[in-house]
Amino acid sequence: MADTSSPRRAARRRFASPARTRLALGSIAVAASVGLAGCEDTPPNFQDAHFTSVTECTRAGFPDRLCEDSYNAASQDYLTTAPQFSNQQSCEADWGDQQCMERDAVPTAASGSSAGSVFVPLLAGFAVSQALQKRYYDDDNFVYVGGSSYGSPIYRNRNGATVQLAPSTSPTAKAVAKPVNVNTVTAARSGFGGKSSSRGFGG
Amino acid sequence: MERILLPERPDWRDKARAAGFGFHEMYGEPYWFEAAAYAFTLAEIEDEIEAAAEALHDMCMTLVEEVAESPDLLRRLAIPEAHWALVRDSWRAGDLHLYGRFDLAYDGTGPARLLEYNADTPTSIFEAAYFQHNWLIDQIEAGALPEGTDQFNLLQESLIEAFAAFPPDRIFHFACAIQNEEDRGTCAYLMDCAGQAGHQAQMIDIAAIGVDAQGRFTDTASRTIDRCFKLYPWEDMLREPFAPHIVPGVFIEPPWKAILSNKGILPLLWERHPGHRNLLPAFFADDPRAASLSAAVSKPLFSREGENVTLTRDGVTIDETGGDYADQPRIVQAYAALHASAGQHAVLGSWVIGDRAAGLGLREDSSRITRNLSRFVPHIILEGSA
Repeated sequence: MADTSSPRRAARRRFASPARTRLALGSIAVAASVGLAGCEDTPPNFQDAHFTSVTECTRAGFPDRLCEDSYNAASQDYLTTAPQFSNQQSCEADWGDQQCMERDAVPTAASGSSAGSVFVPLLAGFAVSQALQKRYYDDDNFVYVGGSSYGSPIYRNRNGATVQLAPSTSPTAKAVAKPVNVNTVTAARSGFGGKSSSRGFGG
Repeated sequence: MERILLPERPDWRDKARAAGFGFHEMYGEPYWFEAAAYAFTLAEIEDEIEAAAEALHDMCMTLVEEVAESPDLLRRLAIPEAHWALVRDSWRAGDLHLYGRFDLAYDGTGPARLLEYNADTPTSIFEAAYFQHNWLIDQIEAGALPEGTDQFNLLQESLIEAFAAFPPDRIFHFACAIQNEEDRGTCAYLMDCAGQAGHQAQMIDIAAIGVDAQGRFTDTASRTIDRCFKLYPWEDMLREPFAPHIVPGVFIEPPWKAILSNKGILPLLWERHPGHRNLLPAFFADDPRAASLSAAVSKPLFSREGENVTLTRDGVTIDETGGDYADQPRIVQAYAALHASAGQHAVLGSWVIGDRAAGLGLREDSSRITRNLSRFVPHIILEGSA
């Protein structure tokens, strides 16, 4: 095969914009690096938490306000984002026997306005995300009212696993019931990482 | 192309520490070195280094298409047969990839030639994307470099853009050997970029990944892992106990990258594009044509950081490195002289992020074989250069 030269570039361009700014790191790397350096005054290591009730949440040690606000927000989001089915059979086909209830149709971005009733999966609980916990930790006056990605309704799927709905990327798309980051039970660990390397694995 | 001397910033070690760049010095040796820099003209960058990365990337993607469907070639690249379907399905599904680094020999007097492709776990991204960018700004402000000095570096914005191609619909796990400071630092930087792209990112030790009864991967909170960046090689993962549970659509780099993260592509590329200006002649070690290379470099398929590399001239070994990869199949590549100045040999790391050439990082070493202790040196594009 003949040698093929790369095409000559027609336009001369520069890689830097005239106003150069320093790159900034977001919070993760700074927190990670501070943590790695063994610094003493890092904030608590927040983890997502799931509860079936406000009582369970406060018993776990979370602030009353955080628990109540999260529950109220999840209930509110549940009204507008729970997957809606026109009949019980189709709802139970996805969510399992006796996992659905009937309620008045609520206009959503997906369904538009509609009359009559629909079937939706039961609300199994609510999530208190690490991001939300941090907001309450940082700001005594913060109140969460829902409608964002902080906390969300939790459902139980037909396998008994708890799921949260993935937010759809389009405002008019149906909410897709695709369970992600499902709570499950780990059966085994350490099936990777057995090759020891003092040098790390980069190349 | 020229290696120039520059004053170090007096507080650069403090800046490194503040950015979490704790591995700027490893084993007592400097890993980041800023008393020098490499200077290029814009034409050298655009016509040779950037163009080489794009040409090589195109050739590699075409090669993946061919290898993914060829048991013969998959076997030649020592990919375990049990996982050929995974590699093929990952490619057919269009699993997204993030990045790769072409290591090039270039000295300003001819085309850049591919030494090898780190397509799976390339490191030094933090130094190339972030630290050398801020070095440039500091040096311009300090008057050590003229206004208008540039750098081939779109890396951070390209990374954020590449991460944004993944919908923010699940936790983005980042797995590495957490106890290794360099790997952890690289991972933390990439997590930061993913966070800037709107993802919820979470680090996990590679050995802490679990599986549930359904064979789904789990994190330390026993939630399923549905998207995971890994700084850990495919050739190891595919030979470990959890390999049977791997499915397409979870790991980044994706399984099809196992085809490229392998020096076996060097003889395959040469066979398909003989005489290409950006390639060096290369053959598998058991190919009789390997003996035709008078000045040659012999390398194992899977070594990293210059381990188990042997330089020969007319069959006589003139330099070699040790390491853990001595028992592997090998390839032989024609020797190409590196840019040499002040006793330092330079290898150019030309990065592809997504499918676009996005930046350059250089490493230099007193030896002709670039290794883990080779130090990263920043570069500039000469102001107003032709």
